[in-house]
Amino acid sequence: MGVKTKEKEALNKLTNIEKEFFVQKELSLKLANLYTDKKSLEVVNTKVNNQLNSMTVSITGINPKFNEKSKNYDKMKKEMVDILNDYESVLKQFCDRYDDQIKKVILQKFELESQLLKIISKLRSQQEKRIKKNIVTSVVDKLKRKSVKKEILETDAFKPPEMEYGLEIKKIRSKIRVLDQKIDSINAEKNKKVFEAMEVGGTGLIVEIKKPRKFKNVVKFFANRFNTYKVINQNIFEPLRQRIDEFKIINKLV
Amino acid sequence: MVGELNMKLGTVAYNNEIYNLDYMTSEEIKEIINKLELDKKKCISELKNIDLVKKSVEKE
Repeated sequence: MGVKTKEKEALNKLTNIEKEFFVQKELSLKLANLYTDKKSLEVVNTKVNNQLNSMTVSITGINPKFNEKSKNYDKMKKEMVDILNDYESVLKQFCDRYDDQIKKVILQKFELESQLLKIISKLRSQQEKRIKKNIVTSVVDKLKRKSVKKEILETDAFKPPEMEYGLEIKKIRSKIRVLDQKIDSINAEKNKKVFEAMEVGGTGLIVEIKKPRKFKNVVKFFANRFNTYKVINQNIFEPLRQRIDEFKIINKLV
Repeated sequence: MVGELNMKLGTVAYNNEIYNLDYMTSEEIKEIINKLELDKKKCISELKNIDLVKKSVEKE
């Protein structure tokens, strides 16, 4: 293969790399942001579903006969949905804090990748110039080919642009690696903190049900006799409301 | 319904394939991101190969 063909081949490769890298960097920015949002949504959904399940189980524990036909059922349902909505919005706000941090790091990474792309573009334009220079010199001075070749070797070939930018590319790559690790660590911390948020502690979601003493051992028979809604409110809704409020105060959420 | 919120993410075309992000889990999206990262690494390592080409040109 001749020198010119190899030079052109290098130019083609550089052009392809430039195009590919541009597409990849844009796409990964978009996907990284979407991934962050989706991950938060999944975590919040799981938490809310778990809470909903535990509430349903607790309500059945208080009164297994409590259903749509029961008194105050609609009131109870409305309250439950309100509390869960509040629970969800608090969790979302909490997630957003971490997501903002992650998105900032993603942008920093995008800027670094843009710098990389600039270097690739520079290399490509330098390569184009070099090829043009070679063509011009060969046309103008065909007879003095040897001396021209020598000149080219002295000016360009001994200082290939890749060598100049090699170190810079390495530096940017290592910075990107650090940012990648940072994104992963923030994501892991977010997951951990969100799953820990508003939990009762070691006992999980078990609540101590306070029923009127005289009905304590005859729940099945007297289940309809006491005010189920009141018991549910006292034992399930109030503690959860308290936990949400405490969490809001501690984390300064709205 | 509580706890079943969805988000419209749309589709993404990559590597001759179309991915509908709304039907994918976050882990599946992560996989595509990992593939992209690998491709970026390949792009950068290809630059080194071009450097090698240059060296062979120098020798000639």
